[in-house]
Amino acid sequence: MSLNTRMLIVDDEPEILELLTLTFRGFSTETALDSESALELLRARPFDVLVTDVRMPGASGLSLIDHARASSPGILIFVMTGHYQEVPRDIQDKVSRWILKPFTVASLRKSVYEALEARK
Amino acid sequence: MTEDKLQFDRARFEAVLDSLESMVVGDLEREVAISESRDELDALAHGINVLSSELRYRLRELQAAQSSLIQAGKLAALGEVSSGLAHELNNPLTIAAGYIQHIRASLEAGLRSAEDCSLLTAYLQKVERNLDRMNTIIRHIMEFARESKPVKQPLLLQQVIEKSLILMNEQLRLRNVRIEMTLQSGLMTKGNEAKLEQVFINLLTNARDAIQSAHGEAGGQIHVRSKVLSRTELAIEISDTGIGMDGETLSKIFQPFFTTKAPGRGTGLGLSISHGIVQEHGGSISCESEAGRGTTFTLYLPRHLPEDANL
Repeated sequence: MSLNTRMLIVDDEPEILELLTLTFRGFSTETALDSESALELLRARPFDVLVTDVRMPGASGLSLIDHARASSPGILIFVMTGHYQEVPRDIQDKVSRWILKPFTVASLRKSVYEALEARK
Repeated sequence: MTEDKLQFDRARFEAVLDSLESMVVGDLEREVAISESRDELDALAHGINVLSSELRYRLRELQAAQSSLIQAGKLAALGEVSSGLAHELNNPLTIAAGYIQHIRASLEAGLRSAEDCSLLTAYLQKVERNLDRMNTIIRHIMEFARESKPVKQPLLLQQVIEKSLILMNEQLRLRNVRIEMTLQSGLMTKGNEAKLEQVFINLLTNARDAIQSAHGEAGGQIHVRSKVLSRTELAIEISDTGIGMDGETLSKIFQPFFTTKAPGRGTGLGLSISHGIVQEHGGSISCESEAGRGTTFTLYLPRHLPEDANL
């Protein structure tokens, strides 16, 4: 796991973006404050990992899943949510790991590292 | 019956009439005196006293039911905004817990330079700021949900509106609802802060839902304006760019249990409770709406001038 791992983090809370950038400082991270800006980044280049919030002003983070799978085949998708039960079943299956809010950065980091390890 | 006796009875009869008149204007505490003679007039006086005591009892029951209804409405209003509140608490909790883990990792790695120390201080400040943020929200939920005492005190209108936004902000932001305020500074009314806040939360929740029904994720705008109507009266307008209502819906909105929301979404009591609260404050609510254009609610409230306290 190194700077070669390209990660996109999407959340409407700047402090969450700052915290996760710090948590994954060994990766090459990019951040977006909403789904629209995230979509532009996904179109521009491939990523290995997407970490996204669901409820944000504008389009939901769930709208990024299909785009991410199309533009970055093999991408690992981590979705942070406080409302897992409200997510439709077909979308639940498209996500690598659901991160329930409030979460600890240690558990998120562990999930991401394990998934990257398993993908090798 | 002698002339004296007649005079005496007339005085007693007038006392009974006075008591009845007092009851009519709402004074139920006054009792009619009963004489030693235990005659027909005393029987009537006793009957009036029993009636007034029964009315006092019923009135107390009604007041208790009204206050339970307001409390239930308040908790329903809180339920309406609860998912936004969970979102608003989850984020600072995640941030504070996250930086605590980074602080621990930094301490375990050992502080080697002044730069390490200042980084640690910056992390601690972030923890502190996010705990403060949670504290503000939780304290306010507690204040709002607590059954308030029936005390009326001078209130700064702007402050009441801003407090209701502590509970509403996240709801509005997540739905792309922008809120614009044109508030005249220093405007005061006299009342119960939690109850008036309940009225604003009800109106803002309705505006939020009307905007979402009309524009979905694109959102819309709520404009809150306050203005002075006279030395004794002020008005607050809450306008939205939502779906609006036709004349028939508009004529029913203050009726208890009337709702246009999907089953399980609204109690249909928000506006009727708000109407009751505003009336209790000596004010009134009016509503103008146009289907497809939006709605404006106007609250009229008695104005409190700081110098009133010295009168």
